[in-house]
Amino acid sequence: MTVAPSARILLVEDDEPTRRAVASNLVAHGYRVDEAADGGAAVRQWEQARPDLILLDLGLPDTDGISIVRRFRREATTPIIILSARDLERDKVGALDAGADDYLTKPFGMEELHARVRAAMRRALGPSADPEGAVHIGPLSLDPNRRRVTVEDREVHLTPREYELLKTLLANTGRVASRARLLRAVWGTEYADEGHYLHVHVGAIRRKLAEADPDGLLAGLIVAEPGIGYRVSDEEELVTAKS
Amino acid sequence: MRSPIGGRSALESIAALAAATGLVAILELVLGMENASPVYLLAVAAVAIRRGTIPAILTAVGAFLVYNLLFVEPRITFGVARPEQLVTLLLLLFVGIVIGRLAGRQREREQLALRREREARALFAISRELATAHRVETALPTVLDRLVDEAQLTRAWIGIGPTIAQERAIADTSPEEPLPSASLHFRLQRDREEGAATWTRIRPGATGSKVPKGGALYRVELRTLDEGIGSLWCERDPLLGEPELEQTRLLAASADQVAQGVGRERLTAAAADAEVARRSEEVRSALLDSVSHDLRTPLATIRATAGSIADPSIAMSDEERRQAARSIDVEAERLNRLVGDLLGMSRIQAGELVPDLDVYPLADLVEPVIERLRRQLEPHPLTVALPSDLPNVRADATFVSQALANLIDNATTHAPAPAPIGVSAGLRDGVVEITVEDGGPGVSPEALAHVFDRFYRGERLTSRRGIGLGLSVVRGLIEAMGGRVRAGSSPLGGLSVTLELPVAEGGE
Repeated sequence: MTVAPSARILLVEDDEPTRRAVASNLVAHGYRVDEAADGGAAVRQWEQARPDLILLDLGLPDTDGISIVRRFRREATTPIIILSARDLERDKVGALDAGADDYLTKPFGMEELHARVRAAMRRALGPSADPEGAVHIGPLSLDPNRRRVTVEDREVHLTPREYELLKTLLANTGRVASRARLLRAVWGTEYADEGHYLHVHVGAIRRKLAEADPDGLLAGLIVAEPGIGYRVSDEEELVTAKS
Repeated sequence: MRSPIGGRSALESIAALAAATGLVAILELVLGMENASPVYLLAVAAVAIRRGTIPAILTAVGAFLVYNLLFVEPRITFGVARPEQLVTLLLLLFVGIVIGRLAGRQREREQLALRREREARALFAISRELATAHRVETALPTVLDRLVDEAQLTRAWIGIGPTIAQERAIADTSPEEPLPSASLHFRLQRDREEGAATWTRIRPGATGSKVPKGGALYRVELRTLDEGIGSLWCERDPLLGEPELEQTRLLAASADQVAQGVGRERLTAAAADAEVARRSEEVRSALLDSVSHDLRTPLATIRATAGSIADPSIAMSDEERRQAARSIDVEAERLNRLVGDLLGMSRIQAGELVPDLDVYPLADLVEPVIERLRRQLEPHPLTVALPSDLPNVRADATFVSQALANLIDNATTHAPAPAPIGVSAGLRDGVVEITVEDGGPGVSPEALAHVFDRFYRGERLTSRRGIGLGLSVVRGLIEAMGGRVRAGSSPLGGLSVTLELPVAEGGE
C-alpha cells in the first residue's frame, strides 16, 4: 500500500477542513505531513525541511500558486502536485508549464490522490531507464541507442517524429506532459503555439502500438487530458488499470 | 398657390392677346374682313383653359380695350364712332367673360380633381411605406422625401419628444444642416370632429419675436390617442404662403400615420419588455426551485449519512461504514456535476466560451470520456462504433469531452439499466457526427424540439436528478466551436443526440 512509508509531504492548502481531512488521511497512510495555510508558511516550511513531495493549492490568499511553483522548481526537482478548484484549464496549464508534475481538480477522491502521490513518488525515486538507457513499460521497450521501439519483441515502425514524441512521452511517465512541453521537446520552441498536429501524431502512435499489442496490455498508456496534454502511465499504473 | 400670382398668367394673357391682335389685323386690314373680333374669344378661351377664370376675364377686358383701341374707328382712342361697333365691342366683352368663366371653372374642377388624386396617391404611398417597413424609423426618410415633393417644402424632419424643447430628430431630409430654431412657426390647429385644420402663427416666449432665417416653419403635432409624442416639421419658401388645403391635409394625415406607427411600436416594445421580464422571472424562480431542490437532496443524504457515522450510539460494521462513505462520495459527485453545469451555463450566457481549437483524431476525444465514465456505464450494454478512417476534427477537446460526458450522463440517468447505450460516429456532408443514443423511454416528438432549452427537463418533472441544464450546456459548447446539435429518436428506443463537428482541413 505505501510506497515510501515515511515520505514527507508538504500540504499547502488554505481551506482548513480540506487541509485537515487530506492531512489526516495521508498520515493514516504512513506519510509525514507538514501543513501550510498560505504561501508564506509554505516557503518557511520549505526552508526548514525539504519535503519529498508538495501538494499545492493554486488559490492561496497571499500568493499566486504558480509563482510558488516557480520558486520551488528553481531550487529542487521535488514533485509538485497542484490541487485546484478552478476548472479553467489555463491555470492548470500555467502551473504545469511552470514545472508542476501533475494536478487534481477539486473535489477529488482520496483514491485518486493516493494514486497520483504514489506515481509522483515512484518517478522521483527510481530512474525509469535500464543501465543502457532503454525504457521499459510493461511489454513496451524503447531503445534510444538503436532508435527502436518494440512490444514484446514485435517491432513498431514509427516515423522519426513519432519516435521523438514517444520518447518524450515516456520520459514523462507518472506525470502530466503539457501540450507546450511536448511541442517544445519534439518540434522546438518556435512551434510552441502551433500544436495542430500533436494530437494527430499521438493518435498515430497509439494506433501503431495497439496494432503490435493484440492483448491490449498497453491500452491506457497514453491518456489525453483534454485541453492540457497527455498523462503517461508508469508500469504500476498500467498494471493497476488492468486489474 | 402654385406660382406667384399674376406673373405667368399676365405673360400668357398678353401673348394670347398679341397673337389674336395679329390675326385680327390680317383678317381686317389685309383681307378686308368687316368684323374679326370673335378671334379674341379664342384668346380668352385659351387663357381660361390654361390659367383659370380671373386671368380669362382680365383677358376678355384686355381684348375689349385692345380691339376698341386698334380696330374701332376712330382708332388709337377709346371713342366709338358707329353704334353697331359698340354692340360688337360689348358682345365681345360679354361673351369673353362668359367663356372665360365657364372654361375657367371647368379647368379649376379638373385641377382640384388632379390635386385630390395626387394627395390620395401620396397618402397611399406614405401609408404603404409606413405599413410595410420593418420599423417606422426606416420608412421615414422616404416619407419625408415624398412630403417635400408633394407639399413644396425645402426641408422636413420629425422630432420625437414630449415637448418641442425635448425633441430629438429621428429623420431629417437635410441631416447635415443644423435644425432651425422653432421660436416662430405656424402650428396646425385641428378640429378633429369636423376635420378642419388651420395654420396658426405661434410666437412663443419673449425671445420668439425674431423671424427665423431661411424658410417659414410649419409644425404638425404627432399625437397618439392620449399624448403628444413629437412633431412633423416643414420648412417652406415664405413667398409660397401657407400650404394649400390638399397639402395641409396630406401633412396632417401623414403626421397621424407616423404617430400611429411610433405609438404602435412603443406599445409592442413595452409588451416585449414586460414579456421578457415575466419570462426571466419565471426562469429565475424555476432555477431557484430546481437548484435548491437539486442541491439539497444530495446534501440531505450526505448529512444524514455523516450523522450516522458520527453517532456513537450507532454501531457500524466496517462494511456498513464503507457503504456510508461511498454514498457520501456519490452524492458529492452529483453536487459537483450540478455546480459544473451551472458554471458552464453562466459562462455560455456571459459569452465567455472561447474555444481553443485544435486538430484531433475523433477517437482521442471520445475514448477518454467513455473510459472516465466506465463505472457509470457498467450496468448498461454499451456499443461503441468509431470508424478508424474518419477525418480529424477541429475542436476544443475540453468542450467536446464535457459535451459527451453530459450526453452519456443524461443517457444513463434517463435510460435506467439495463437499457442499452450506443456511441457512434460517422462522416456526413463534410462534417463528423457523433451520436449518443439510449434504449430508454425517449421523449415525445413535441418535446424533441425543446430538449436543448434551458431548464427543460421533459415531462417527468418528478425526475430525481437534473435541472435541465445538461443538454443546453451541450448545445452552448458545441455551437461555440461552430458545430451543431440535433435530437431525434433512436432505433434503440430512446433519445438520440447528434453532435456535428467541422472536419479539420489539410490535416496530415
